[in-house]
This record gives sequence, C-alpha cells and structure tokens, in this order.
Amino acid sequence: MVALLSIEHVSKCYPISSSLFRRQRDLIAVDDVNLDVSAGRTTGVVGESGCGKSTTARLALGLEKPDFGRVLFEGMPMPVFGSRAWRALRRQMQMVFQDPLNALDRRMTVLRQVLEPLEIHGIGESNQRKDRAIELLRAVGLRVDQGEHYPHELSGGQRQRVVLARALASNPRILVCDEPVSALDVSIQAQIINLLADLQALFGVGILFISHDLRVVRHISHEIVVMYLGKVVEQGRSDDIIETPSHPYTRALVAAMPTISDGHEYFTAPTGELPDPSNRPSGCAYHPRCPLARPICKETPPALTACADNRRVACHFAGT
Amino acid sequence: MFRYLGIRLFRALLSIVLVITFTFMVLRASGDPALQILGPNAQASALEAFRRSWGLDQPLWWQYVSYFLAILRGDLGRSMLNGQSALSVVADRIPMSLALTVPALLINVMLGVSAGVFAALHRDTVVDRAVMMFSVVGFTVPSYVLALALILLFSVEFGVLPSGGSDQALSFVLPVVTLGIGGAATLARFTRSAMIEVLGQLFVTAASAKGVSWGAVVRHHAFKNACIPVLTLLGLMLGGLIAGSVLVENVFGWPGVGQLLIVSVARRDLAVVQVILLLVAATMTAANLVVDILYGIIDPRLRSRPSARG
Amino acid sequence: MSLAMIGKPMAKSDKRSRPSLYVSLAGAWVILMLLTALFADHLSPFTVTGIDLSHRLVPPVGLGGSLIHPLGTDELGRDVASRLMHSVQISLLVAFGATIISICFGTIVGFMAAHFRGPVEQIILMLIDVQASLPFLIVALSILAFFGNTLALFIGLMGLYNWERNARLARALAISANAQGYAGAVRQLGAHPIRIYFRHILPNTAATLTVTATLSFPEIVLAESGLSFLGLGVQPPLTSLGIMVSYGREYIATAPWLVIAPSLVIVVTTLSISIIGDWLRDTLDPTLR
Repeated sequence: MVALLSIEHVSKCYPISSSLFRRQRDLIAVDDVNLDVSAGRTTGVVGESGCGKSTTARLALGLEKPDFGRVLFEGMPMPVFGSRAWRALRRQMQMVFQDPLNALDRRMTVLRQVLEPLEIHGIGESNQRKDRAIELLRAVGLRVDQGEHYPHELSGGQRQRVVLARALASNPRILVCDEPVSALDVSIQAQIINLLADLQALFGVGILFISHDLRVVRHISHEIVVMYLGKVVEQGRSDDIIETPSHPYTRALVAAMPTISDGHEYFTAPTGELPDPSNRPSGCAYHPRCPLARPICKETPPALTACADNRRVACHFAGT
Repeated sequence: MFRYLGIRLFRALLSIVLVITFTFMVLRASGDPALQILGPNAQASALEAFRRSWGLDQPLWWQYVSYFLAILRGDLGRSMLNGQSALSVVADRIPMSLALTVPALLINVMLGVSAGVFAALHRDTVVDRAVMMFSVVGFTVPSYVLALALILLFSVEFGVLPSGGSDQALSFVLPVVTLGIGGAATLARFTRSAMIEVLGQLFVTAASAKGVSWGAVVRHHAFKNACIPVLTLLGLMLGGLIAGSVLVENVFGWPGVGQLLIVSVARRDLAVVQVILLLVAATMTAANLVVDILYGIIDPRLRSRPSARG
Repeated sequence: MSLAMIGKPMAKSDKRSRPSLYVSLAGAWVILMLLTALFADHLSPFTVTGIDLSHRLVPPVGLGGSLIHPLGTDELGRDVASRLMHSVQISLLVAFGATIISICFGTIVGFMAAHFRGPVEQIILMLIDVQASLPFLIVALSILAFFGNTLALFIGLMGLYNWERNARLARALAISANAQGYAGAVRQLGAHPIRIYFRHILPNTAATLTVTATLSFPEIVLAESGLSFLGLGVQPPLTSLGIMVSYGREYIATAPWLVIAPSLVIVVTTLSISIIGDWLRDTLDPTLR
C-alpha cells in the first residue's frame, strides 16, 4: 500500500523569548515524528494537550513548514503555504476542525458553504454544482431544506456534518481531522464517527484523525500513533495497541478509558501533572509520571524502536 | 525607561521623515517645482539655476536626498510674495499665533477639565446636564460659526469688543475665547467620562478602605488614573487647536500663521505652504512625544508595551 | 473635534433621562434635509444665481420682509432660502461621497495591513500614525495648494478624512477575523486571499465598519463647510453652507440673517446626524460603546 501522505522525521520548534533575560528558549512542539496515511485507511494520533498533535496536523497540511524532515503527498514534497501550488493541492487535502461553528461563515447558508470549494476549484459546470452540493448534504445525513439554514440555526452535530460535506466537496484524497468531535455531546460523537467511517468506505479517503480521546480514536483508526510532549512514544496497529500497550503512557491512557463492568464504571487516570512543554524533563519526558522509571530514564531519551511486527515503542523497558 | 524613550524618539523622527517625503512627492506630482516655488514670472535663468541647485535634472532618488538635505539646512525656498525666505516669513507670524493658542489651551484645560470633573462628581444634577449641553456645542458648532456668533453678540449687539484685527488692546479677547470654548467643551465631556469610569472603579475599593476620606481618594487616585486618557486627548486636541486657529484667525483677521496659510494656499505660494506643513508636523510630533514621555513617567506599566496608541 | 474622540458617546444617565423625543426630532430634521437635498431643484422658488439687484438685503419674513423671500435675500438679491436648499444638496453630496471613499480606502488599506503583516504592515501603521497626528485641515489645505480645486478632486480630498481611523479598525477586524475559524477554514479550502477578504471577511465586518464610519459623516460636513468658508472648498457658481456663511460675514452688522440661517442649518444638521448616528450605534452594535 503506497502511502498518500508521508510525514518523515519531522520536527518543529517555536521560539519563545523571555523578555526578562533576553534569551530565547525553544518550545519543541514536534520531535522526529514519522507517520503515514494511506488511501481508505485512518491513522489516529492521540495524546494529551501540548503533545504536538495539532502541530502535526498543521504540518501535515502544509500550513507550517517543518524545521527538520519533510512532508510528502503522493511522493511529492508539500508546496509552500499560500502559493498557487499549495492552493491547488487543497483540492486533495482537506481539514475538519474542532469547532464547527467557528469554521463556518455565519452569514452564508449551509448550501453556499458546501458549494464554495466547488467554485474555488472550478469543479464541474456551474449548473451542476448545486446538485452536487445537495448530494453531499444527503451523504452526510442532512436534509435538502437544511441547506437553506445558517450555521447558527443548526445543532453542533449538524454543523459538523456540514463541515464534513464541505471538506468532501472537492473529493479529497486525504482528510485531516483535528479533534472533530471533542466539542460535541457524547451521543453525537458516536454518530459523527460512524459517519466518518461510512464516508471513508464510500469515497476511499485517507484520514489523519487527531484526538485526545483514545476511545474515539480506536473506533475509527487502523493505525494509532501515541504522542507525548512532542515525541512519538508508541505506534502500531490499532487493535494491538489497545489490547497490548507497551509504553507505560499508552498503558495509562488505555487504563483511563472507562470500562463498564457489572454496571459500574472503573476509571484510572494517568497520575501526576503534565509538565510544561517549554521545560521538558530530561531524558525520557514521561519519567516523572512513569511507574517503571529508573535512573537511566532520567538520563537517556529512549529511541523509537521496533519491538514487534508493525509496532514501535520508545521505552527502555518496553513490554515489561 | 530609556528603551521606551528610544523607540518613541525613533518613531517621531520617522514620522517627520514621512511628512518630508510626502511633501516631496506632492511637490513633484503637482508640476514643475521650479515654476511652483519661484512663481510663473521667474526668469528662465533663475529657473535653470533653481533646477540645478535642487538637482531637478538628476534622478529621482538624488532629488529626494538633496531635498532632504536642503530642508535640514533650513533652505526651504522663498515666498512668492516678497522673495523673502519662506522660513522667515512663517517664523515672523508664529508669535501672533502663539498669542492666541497658548491662552486658548490654558482655557481649554482649566475650563474643560474642571467642568468635566465637576460634572462627574455631581452626576445627574442640573449642573451635570448643563455641562453636557455645553459640551455638545463643542463639536457641533464649528469654530467659525462660534466666532461669528460671539461677534454678533459682543461686537454688533453690545459693541464692547472689536470684531477683528489685532490693533486694539481687546482684539485678542474674542479669538481666544472662541478657541478656548470649543476645545473646553470636548475636553469637558471626555474628562467627565474618564472620571466617572475611574470613580466607579474606586468606589468599591474605597468603600472597603478604612478611614480614607473621599476627598483624599479623589485627589490621589481618581485624578491620577483619569490623567492618562486625558493626556491622550490633549495630544489630539493640539491638532484641533491648530486647525481651529486657522479658521479663527481668518474670521478675526488675526495675522498669525493660520491666516498666512490661507493666503498662501489661495495664492499657491507653495514654499510657504510647505514650511507651514512641516512646522505643524514637527509640532504635533513633538507634542505626541512629550505626551508619551509623560505617560512613561505616570504609568510605568506602559513602558513595556510597544505602543500605547492604536 | 468629534464625538469619536470621546470614550463613551452618551453616559447611561443621559440615555435614561433623555426620551427618544430628541432622536425623533433629529430624525425628522435629517429626513427633511435629505428630502431638500434630493429635490432642491424642484423645491427652490428661485435659482441659485438669480441676481436681483433691486431686492438686495431684504430681511426675512417677520422682520420686515415678505413671503416671497421667506428667509430674505443676500447682497446680490439672491433668495436665501433657495440658496440654502442647494447648499444643503451640495454639502450632503460631498459628505456622502467623501464618507464612502473614506470607508473604501480605509478598509482596503486596513485589510492589506492585516493580510501582509511584516514590513508592509509596519509601513502602513506608520502612515496611519502620521496621518492621525496631523490635523486634517492642514493636510487638506496643503493638498489644495498643490493641486488646485475641482469638485471631483475636492470630494476625493474629503475622502481622506478619517481614512486612518477606518484603516485601523479594518485592520483590527481583519486580524481578529483571520484568527477566527472561518477565514482559516476557507483558506484551507484553497481560496485565494482576495476571495477570503471580499466574500467572507468583508460581509462579516461590514456592519461594524459602516456603523463606525457614520461617525465621520457629521465631521465631514463640518470640515467641508470650514474649507468652503475659507473659500477653498466648494467653488462658485456652486454654493455650499460654508460659502453662504462666508458671504454673509461682511454684512453681519446690517443683515445678520445671512449668517444666521446657514449657520443654524449647519449646527442643527450636524447635531441631528450625530444623534441619529449615536442612536444607530447603540441599537445596532452595543459592543462599540
């Protein structure tokens, strides 16, 4: 399977200047991340806030340029943000955001907004576009009459459907979803996730799915990448990771997923506080919170190494 | 503090440079500068000499540089009227304009601020209402209408004050009063708003303070905090004063810089117009710089922010 | 001097104690002025330049005159009421044209500053600061000196009034719009920046921009009348409120109505427009207070 989107050894840091000392510290947002997205498959990225998920999304879309490494789409490097080539490439790569109300223009009807990508990229004849827009609205589960509404007249879930319809209008090959359901009620989340999966089956689109919620990620992803403070700590097949997590952080995340047994919810969260991303702990970034931590963890950052078929972990004591 | 001052000074200088550039561009765009500065009746040889001395046969960037240097030298051309140096023509008029604007500014501040503070302290009373009505006058009645109204009242009806010129002892009264009232009105309203806001903030604080008299609170805190927005306004008001003095000098035939500007514009005496424009720009920039410095002294918080305005 | 320089246009106590009678009166006057401006040619009994030397300086009705010239005549026997109507027409025309130009120019410059950031933005900000620090009258006079005066040029010049304030606002609105999702989302769709600004950002900010720009309208009326008063604004044979005041000034002792009539119209019209403008701002966009 040839990867549609390839993120290779990508790192990005942001300078934060401290005015008091006039010295620049760097916030390492993303450090040596590698991941692929293939047609018709979903790669999920999961981690807590500050772990670099959103930066990864922006790098994947070419909204920002990595400091190291490269992003390839169909084997070609990503064009510069804002250039004509980049704008043309938008037809192939689309984004779904966390807050659908924010992502939609308040003053345009829903139908107009779904039409817009068709106009921008000149897809189809102008008289055909309206039909296609209506088709898309139906595909995401909205009624035709809802197309005449304005975004604030719809519910959160409906708005996200509109965003999906708009994203799929140009028939993209890649969809990058950054926390697409975090702002929605739990019951609606399930609907939207299922819709995404259906649309993937229907259109064969590759999805990069980013979320802090492992429950949601596992449902739709074929591969999972676990990130912590900008680094990948574990990645592999979705089922493997959920069933047999190797990295202590992954284990903590998996354990934190509420399970229902005997009618009660059991819930154990990762302990400790998330450290300041601009002031990372030395060695392995997770060592202050890790139950397996030993002196070596404080000194040497572990490398991401393969430990099984299609599975990589960054831990000195993986599997123990 | 020095860093703050340095930035402000740099921006001030940059503003002046921009204004000089503007006059240069406008001068070049509106025709042959030699003809404009020297007048249509100048001799061909004088025109040639002018063109050479101003480098008008040179490339544009060179012209710009020499124009700049000429200005720094103080060589700003000659007035068409009498061939005198434009700079000296304008400089001669400055004292007369100052004789109007300085007292007017004092009236502005004293009358306006005290009216505003008084109104703020006596909110919703008759006095407050009166002050608000008075302040409306300030920005709906243009200065020349106010001037004419005062002339109608005091010169025509009552005959107590002269209606124009600068020869009589009382000639300055009406012009100064006109300029003073207009600005005072705006300042009164603004001061009132600023004071009300500050008083509102302080009321809660003072209510829980122990044994601090209300008068002391007003004196020490309200005034100081209300100072800052008022200071900004003062900077702006100087501009209004300058513009107002142009109109007022015209109505009263007062021989100041404003009157000179009108006459020069009508006659297209561009050298003089250019000098006045640069003079006004320099004055406003200096005034804003002073206001910024005062900011820095009064409110140290502002020193770390890159821009206090806009 | 303007309402805009003041932090809060109307204190709350004024709003509560002032009934909307003032707003209604102001509204009535503004409508009257608009109608006059639109139909001056049909309403005015005499022409603007109708010189009638046998009826010079006739006082208005009630002070010795008759209904033929309800507001009297001027030093050339021209009917004051007719000239007043045409003056209102010209003054409002100039103010409308200038306001529109100021909004358009300011908005485009502001959007450019917001879009390009970097050095372009810094230069634009400097220009805005410089313009803000120079009194408009002085700049206008300088430009008039250099370029002369036709009506079209004059309206264009008046269009520079407050462009810097509109530019500042447009830039701020564009920056915040860009920070908001929809601008970024449409950019992510692959839209050209021009499309983003004019199809999305502009419609969303137009309300705020226009409402704030209404502040300029009365100020432009005042500025134009001032320049016309100085003889450097609207040129004869066209007439304007400022021109009428300046013509009447010579006869202030003998025929004060020549000054009073146009002055009253200027003051009442400016006041009414300001009141309406305040009221509009308060009802449409309370966040601006």
